[in-house]
Formats: sequence, structure tokens, C-alpha cells
Amino acid sequence: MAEERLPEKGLSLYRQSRNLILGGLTGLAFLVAVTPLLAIIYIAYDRGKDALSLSFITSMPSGFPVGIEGGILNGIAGSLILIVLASLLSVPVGVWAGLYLWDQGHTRLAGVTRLLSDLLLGVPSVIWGVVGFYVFSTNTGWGFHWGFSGLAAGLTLGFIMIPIVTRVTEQALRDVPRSYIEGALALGATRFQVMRDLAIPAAITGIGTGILLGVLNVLGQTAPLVFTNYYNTGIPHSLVGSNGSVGDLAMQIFIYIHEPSKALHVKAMAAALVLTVIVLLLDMGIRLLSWGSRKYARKV
Amino acid sequence: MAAHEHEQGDSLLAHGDHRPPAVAPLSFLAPDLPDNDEAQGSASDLSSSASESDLKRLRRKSHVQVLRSERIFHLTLRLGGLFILLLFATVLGVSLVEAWPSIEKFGWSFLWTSTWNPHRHIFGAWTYLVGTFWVTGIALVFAIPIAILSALFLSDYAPKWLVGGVSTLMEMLAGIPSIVFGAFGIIFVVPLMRDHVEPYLANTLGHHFDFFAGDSMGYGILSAGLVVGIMVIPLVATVTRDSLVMIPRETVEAAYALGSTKAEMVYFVKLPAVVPGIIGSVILGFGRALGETMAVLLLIGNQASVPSSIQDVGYTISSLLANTFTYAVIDPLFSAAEIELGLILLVISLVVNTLGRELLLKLMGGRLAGSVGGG
Repeated sequence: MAEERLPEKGLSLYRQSRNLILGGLTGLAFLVAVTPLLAIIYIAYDRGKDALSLSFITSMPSGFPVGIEGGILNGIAGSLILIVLASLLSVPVGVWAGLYLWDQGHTRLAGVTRLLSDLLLGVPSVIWGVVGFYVFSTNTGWGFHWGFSGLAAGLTLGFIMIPIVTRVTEQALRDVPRSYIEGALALGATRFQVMRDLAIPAAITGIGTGILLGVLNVLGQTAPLVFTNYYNTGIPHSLVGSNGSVGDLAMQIFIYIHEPSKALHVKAMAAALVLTVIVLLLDMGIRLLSWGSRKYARKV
Repeated sequence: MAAHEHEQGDSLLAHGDHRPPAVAPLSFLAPDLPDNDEAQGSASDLSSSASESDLKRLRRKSHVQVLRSERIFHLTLRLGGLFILLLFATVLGVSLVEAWPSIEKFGWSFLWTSTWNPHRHIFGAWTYLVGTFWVTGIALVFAIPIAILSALFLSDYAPKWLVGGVSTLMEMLAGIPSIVFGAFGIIFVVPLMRDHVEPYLANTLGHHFDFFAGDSMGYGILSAGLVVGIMVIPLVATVTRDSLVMIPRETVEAAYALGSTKAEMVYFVKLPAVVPGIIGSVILGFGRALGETMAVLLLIGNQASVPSSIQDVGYTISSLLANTFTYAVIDPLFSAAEIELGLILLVISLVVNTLGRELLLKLMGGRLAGSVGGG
């Protein structure tokens, strides 16, 4: 860039030093911003490495208090169950709503829907917990009366995912070149055919990215689970009712770190490292996917 | 968008089928007239007219069918949008209905009552509101300068080969779950605060200002605020950087042409230009910090008292709900009071997020207009 070759001679000392100070400050601030984030990963590894081994992720927790021996298989399995349940609810609904916003996005109703969908993105996770509790878990009043269960928690996480999937689906569909759609319509295709045969296939990577983004967002959610699922040291046979709770990685970290036990803290840090690595890998996968689809789109 | 195009296409077709004015007076006699009706999707009796050719009937039938299926498609898609409206109504409805006993009993005074006594059935939000704003405030005071300077580093100062990598790194680190930050806080930040930072603060500033004095417990609003601040930095920095890189090159070069140094260009030209973007990103960061639950729950000490010093423990709305809601549900008024707290949090979050969204959307609109004007 041109500015790198600016002559600095002839500037007053005040202006030169001011120039250097701002540059130095920005670099310093960046280090201050990134160091703790990297330190989290390092400390999780450093404090948790005594517990880390292959059996840590392949064995169930045992000992007393539970978890002091064994691993976190219940948490991994439970998190997987919750993600599948959340996706089962949010993918159809979110994609559907995204298609609506894409197809009829210019109407006033769609404008309101888009605003509300964006606002749902900002609803605090405790509120989702309260909503999930009254809709799914509570045993009094209205609602599904499923108790603290995997199904209740999974669908609550699905609620959180819906606006994310909606927004990304709409965006991915909007990225399909207009000329394709107009060409298909000019050839006499119906709007349904355009959607089924053209828009969705062209946007499928983007929609997939949106779904993974949603999964990434609910993977570390803890607060909603406190209200709808809590925790299970085993793997349940049923997902509804009083024995329907599932384990969950994030809840496991929360419960272990809350215990006044050094050994459990080590387990918690190891589990935190596992969760962080899963999240970062998923994030990287999403980036590769969207990078690949952008490159593909440019080639087309 | 596609719908709009197609509707236009339909109306054009219908228009083309109009008879020229000269024939029009007689047209009601002609059996193959009502092509207009087809376009409106209504089948008329005239379709059975004997004088109509098979070809035309076929064409008309398929056209009607297509229009009907388009209509069904249109309405089916609209149902998808309805889910979003329904979900939003559920969130708001559940909070309002379940909080109603408390709203009815305490009215507006709920907001400034600082008593929270489940046994005597007196509930007030003040303690938790203050705690929430303390944590959010500490987080933002810590995060905003660092985030803005980092954004400047990413947009102007970092070497080109480094920018892509470190920007991605920062965005990825923003995705680390809250509970991991909380665990990190307990393992690392709390001992650090207890043994080093807080005693130091108490021994220096604390001698002059009560605000910095205290017992140095490690847990408290300072630890919680700092950890939430660390979590918020990537969000604020990323959004600010996005608005910084939108500034037209011409503006930057004009500043250089007038002889400014890089720092002067950044400080006098770029920063003023992105003030709306910075405000938008700070508002989004505020919204994020406000709803932060697990990290705060683990670090704040969870004691219902109004903090008077930065070293004090406290309680926030979200950590109170996550910590005690499952005990509160046995008592209708107790749980209603907790949900009213949640409702306050929800309303603040919605207002804050709408503001941030509108500001950033307007900024993007402004950029588009600017780039068109600038060629």
C-alpha cells in the first residue's frame, strides 16, 4: 500500500512519536485481546492433561463423587443426542422459514418475520431455559409435561437454532445469482420447480453451513439445560419422563467445576479441552465449507 | 424476490391477452374471451363452450393448474414464516403469563425494591439489576478500548500476510463456549485476582477510594466482569473491523494527500467515520454481556447484595435464574418474581439488539449509497 512508503522525514518529533504510539497501542491491544483466549486452551490442557487419555472419551464416569474416575462418554453421547434432537426440530422449520423469507421477502409480513427472527437471535439463553421449562418440562399447568428430559432439552436447543438456520438459509438462497432464477422462470418453470431444482441445490452448501453454525451455537449451551434437562451420569433408555435426562459435556464441566474437589477440577479442565477442540474443529470445518462453496460459486 | 418477478410476468401476460378496443364491444359474445379470468385463477363456465378448440382448453387447464399450485406453494411457504412469529409469541407469552402474578402484585415498584425475601413474599429487582449492570459495565470498560484498538490493528496495522490468519483466529475464539470461560475463570482468574490483583488494588487505590477496597476474595463482580469482557472482545472487535474496512479508499488517500501521518489518518479520518459502527458493535457487545449466564454464575459469588466496591460479590439476573429457578418453581409468587426478572432482561436485550441491528443496517445502507456515489 502507498502509505508504507510515506516519507517520515521532516515531521515534528511530536507527530512522529504520536504515529508510533498509536501503532504500538493497537498491536498491544491485539495481544491483550488474543492472549487470554489462547491461554484458555493452554490452561485447559495444562490443568487437564493428567486426565486426558483415549479412555477419557470412551468410558463412563465412575467412582465417588461420580466422575472422579472414568471418562465423559455420557456427556459426549448426551450432547450428540441433544444436537440430533435440536436439528430434527430446527432444520425443517428454519429452512422452511428461510425459504419463505427468500421467496416473499419483499412483503411487509416477511419484514416483520425477519425482524423477529433477528431478535430471537438475541434472546438470552436463560430465557430460552425458562421458556423450555414451561413448554416442555414442567409437570403442572399447560405444556408437554416431559419432565427434566433429553427431549425437552433437545427441543429447547432446537428453538435456539431456528433463527440461526433461518437467517443463514435466506442468505444462502439470496446468493444464488438472480439471472439463474429469472432464466428458469422465463423458460416456464413454476416457482416450486425453481426452488426445488435450482435454488436449493445451488444453496445447499450454504444451508448446510447454516445448520452446522446452529449446532456450533447450541453445543456449548449450558443455561437452557439447567432448566430442562440437568444432567445424567449414565445414558438413559428413554428421552422422556423422570429418567429421561441425558448427560451433556457443558453441564458436565459445570457440575465438575462446582465441586470442591481437585480431582474433579482436573476432569473438568480435560472435558473443557475436549469441548473446545470439538467446537474449534467444527468452526474450522464450517469455514472450509463456506470457503469452498464461495470458490465454487466464483468458478460458476 | 422471485415471487415479485413472477407476479409481474403474469400480469404482463394478462395484459397482452386484452382485445384491441375496436373488438371490445363485441367481445362478450366471443366464447374464447375470458383469458383474463384464467390469469386470476378462476375457472369459468365458458370453458365448456363447444366452439373452443381442444388445444385452447388444454392450455387453459394447465394454466389454471399451475396457478393453483403456485398459490398453494405461496401459502405453504408463508406457513414457514408463521413458525417464527409463533416462536416469538411463545417466548414473550410464556414470560408475560408466568410473570403475571408478580407484575400484578408489585407493579412498577418491583424495579426499585431491593428486598428479596421468599419467606415474607417480598420481591424486588434492584439488587440484581445493579449486579447485572456492574458486571456488564466492568466488562465493557475493559473490552471496548481493547476491542477498538484491536480492530484498528486488524484493519490498518497488521502486516498483510498476517491479517487473514489472525482475523480468523479471533473469530474462531469467539466461539469458545461460555462454560469453558467460566471454568477458566475459576481455575485461573479467581486465584490471580485473590492473590495478586485485588490485594494490590486494595493497597494502592483502595487507601484513597473505598470503591477499590475490599476483602480480596477472588470471586466477585471484578472477576466476572473481566471474564465476560474477554468473551465480548472478539465480537466488538470483529464488528468494528467490518465497519472500518468499509471506509472508501478515496477518503484514506485524501487524508494522506493532505500530509497526515498514518496515526493522524486513523484518528482524525477513520475513527470519526466509524462512530456509528463502533456504537453498533458496543451495543451488540452490551447485549451479549447482559445475557451471559454460566461464566458469571461461576465467578460472581452469588450473594444478593448491592456491590459497593469493585471487590464485592454480587448476583446478576441471569445467574440468579440459572442458580435458583428450579427451587423457586414450588412457590408461584417466587417463580413469578424470578420470571419477571427474566422478562426485564428479555426486554432490555430486545431493545438493545434492535438498536444495534438498526444502527449497523443503516451503516451498511450508508456505505452502499456512498460507494455508488463515489463511483
